[in-house]
Amino acid sequence: MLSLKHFQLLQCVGKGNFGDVYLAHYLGNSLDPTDPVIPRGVPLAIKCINLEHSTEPIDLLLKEIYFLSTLNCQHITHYYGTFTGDCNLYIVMEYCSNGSLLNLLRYYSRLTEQTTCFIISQVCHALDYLHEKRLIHRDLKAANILLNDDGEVRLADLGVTGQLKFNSTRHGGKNLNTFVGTPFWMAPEIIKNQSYDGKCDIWSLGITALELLNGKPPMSHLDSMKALMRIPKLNADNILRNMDISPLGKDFIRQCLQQDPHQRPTCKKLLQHKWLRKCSITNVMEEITIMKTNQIMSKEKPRLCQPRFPLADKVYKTNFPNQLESWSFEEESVRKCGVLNNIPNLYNDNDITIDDKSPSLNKQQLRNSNLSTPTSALSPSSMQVSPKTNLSTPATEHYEEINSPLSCPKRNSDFENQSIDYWKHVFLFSLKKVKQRAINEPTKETIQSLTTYMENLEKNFPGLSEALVQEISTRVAKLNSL
Amino acid sequence: MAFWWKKSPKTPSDYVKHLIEQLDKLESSPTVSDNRKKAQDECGRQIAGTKHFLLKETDPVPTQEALDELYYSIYQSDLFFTLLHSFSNLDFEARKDVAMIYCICLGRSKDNKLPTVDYLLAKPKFMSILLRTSETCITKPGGSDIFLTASGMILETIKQEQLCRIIIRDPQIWKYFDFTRLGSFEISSSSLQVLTELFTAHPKLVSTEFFSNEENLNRFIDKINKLMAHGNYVTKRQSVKLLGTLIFNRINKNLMTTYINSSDNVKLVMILLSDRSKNLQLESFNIFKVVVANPRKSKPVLDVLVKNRDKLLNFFEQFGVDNKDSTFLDEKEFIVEQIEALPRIVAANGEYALGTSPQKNLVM
Repeated sequence: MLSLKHFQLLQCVGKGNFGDVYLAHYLGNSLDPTDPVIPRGVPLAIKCINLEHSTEPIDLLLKEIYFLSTLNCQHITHYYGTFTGDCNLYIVMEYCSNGSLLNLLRYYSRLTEQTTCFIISQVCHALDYLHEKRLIHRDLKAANILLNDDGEVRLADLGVTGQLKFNSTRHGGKNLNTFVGTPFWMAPEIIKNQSYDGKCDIWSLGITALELLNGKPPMSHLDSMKALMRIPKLNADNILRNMDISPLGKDFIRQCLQQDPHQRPTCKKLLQHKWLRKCSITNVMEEITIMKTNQIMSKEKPRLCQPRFPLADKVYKTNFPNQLESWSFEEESVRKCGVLNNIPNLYNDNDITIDDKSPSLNKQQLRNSNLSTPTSALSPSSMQVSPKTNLSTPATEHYEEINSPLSCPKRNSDFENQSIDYWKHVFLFSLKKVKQRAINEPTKETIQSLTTYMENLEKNFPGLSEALVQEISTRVAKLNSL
Repeated sequence: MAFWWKKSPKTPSDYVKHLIEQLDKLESSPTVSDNRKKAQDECGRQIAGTKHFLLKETDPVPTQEALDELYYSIYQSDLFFTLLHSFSNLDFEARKDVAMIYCICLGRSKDNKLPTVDYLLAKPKFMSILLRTSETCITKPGGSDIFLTASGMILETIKQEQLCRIIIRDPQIWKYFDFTRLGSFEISSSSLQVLTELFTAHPKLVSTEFFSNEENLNRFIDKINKLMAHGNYVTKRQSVKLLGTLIFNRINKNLMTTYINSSDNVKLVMILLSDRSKNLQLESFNIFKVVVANPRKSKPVLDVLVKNRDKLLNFFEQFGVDNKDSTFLDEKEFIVEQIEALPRIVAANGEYALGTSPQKNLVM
């Protein structure tokens, strides 16, 4: 079975609402015959969805995976397989090193008619493939069109793809009415809440063509609500009138942007359109090369992403029980109940290989960094003071407690039976500990005066310690998890 | 592809005949050979052509008579049997097309009848072969993909109540519980999806014809408990949700009373209730609340609850604190009241004494 240990995760290359995307390599030591065939030594994109935080129901995510797995088209990002680990879903996809078309638009502001024509024809092939399978993309836009290493076009992000029913008789072939997509690219029939079919992708294709030619989709100066109201009145001629493109190009876009979906041509028809047929280039390598060279010359650094859900932030942590409470069940009956026997810890994928350049964090730090909730301030070790100055190294005995959290209450009677007093139980406690670590008198005195000072502040501004403790622990956790 | 039908103007039934001949050729040719590849390609073309015809995507659009004739010959020749037999030997796209053809046929309605459903009802063996197709491919390369496509066909079949009745009687369905624990993620999640559809699509049918049988009932509980205890994160969440849905439906009173009166089940639910995953906690709470709200708890269940009275109260202090949903809050309040009303155990030995003093759980 595929798992995280079969991959080497390099840097985070993108993030979205769904989770983070990592660049990765397949290490290929899975022996399971049902595992997908994944090329070795080829860069891969691994989309990591945190299911514990995802608001999307699992069923919908599964649906997307099933869609992806039924596709085998050279113009759509290739899907290799999926696996789980901790609470994450990892989807292994083809990696498109040159990112989305937005990168090109950011650099060039607008694309030439020839480049646009090529991209649109490639996307049209992808849409034709989807429509053939009665699938509709529903979120076509430049941001969802990627460029691979060779400057070839790949349609991506099938997150809101919809499946049309096969029996077109009852609904006249149009049986979707979910309101999805991105406002500026959305077809009028979706906005008007009518049922729709693949023709809504054709509309978005026209808008995307305008986006590539002008740098922005029409009406992007408006806020999305206003744009939504205007789209059902959008007149392609008004937009095209002042644009400097060939009559063929105008005709193509005009055909896509017809208000009546029935009037819009199918992908097959569009692929026969002269504008696409006379397209002479086979990739956008030239544009990419120029852009990259100039970026290197101007020493512009490629943008690095900070993952939204760092992989070290696990729900099921190594050395922690999977349960928060240890219930009292009689040994006898627990043993009798076959199911409860030996529940294995399935989630500890602690053999992840994250190849970041930062100095390796020791296990203790990583573990502490996971406690990012405010209450984590309770654990003394989450506020480790690095012994930079004349302070001795922390004694290890304090940190053992954290390994067996459920036994903590027994030892720290302070915390029993009462709510947490951040000043007394956390701040003062820590200051005392720091004082113990001080090796000379001046340091001890400094800490004592700090204690007195803080005590006064806390008296005058109750809650100050609490806020400080929370902020410090959140920050430490954040830094540790980078 | 549009010209496929035009190329040789035969009748639709000739095409079915031709397809079956090609499938025979595919089966009879050696595993690695040019002939086989040729037969595979030809099958793919024929299957795609049939799909386009059924979808009325050919030019000219087929007449209703031609369509009826095609359907008729599909039934007459038992084409679905032949297609399933060669399923794993077809190529990627052809398999998807087979699934699509099957789905189109299933949904066909004529004179207020569903002819394909009636046809399949007369051939219950098909259901049994369909359910077993997934199993045969599980160890083959590309197995996930075949499994997913076959599951898609099963899901469509389940939607038809009469066909679902045949499936639910097939002992093969128990295997789907095991499939969720082996093989790739796609195999495990789609098996669970099949089970979810199977047990929830037609509640009345499942309740009167499946859970009414005590043996089925106990076996189901045993199987779903295993998924809840040992599955991966997705399996756990989906299986707890499935059980919750079933228990919450009044029609499954039988299942509910049996489930919530066994202390072993309650222990498992409590373990999941205190799981580190907030989502699993919430899903398990939906089952646990039924356990606690039950006015006639069995002695063993009551014992478990009483023994953990203080731990539970302590646990619920922290449980779902950031949840603002008013229904949830009401339910939680009610559950806490019920637990408070449970008798306290007077400290008798060390172990119990520990439980009587409320503790703060330090690592929430």
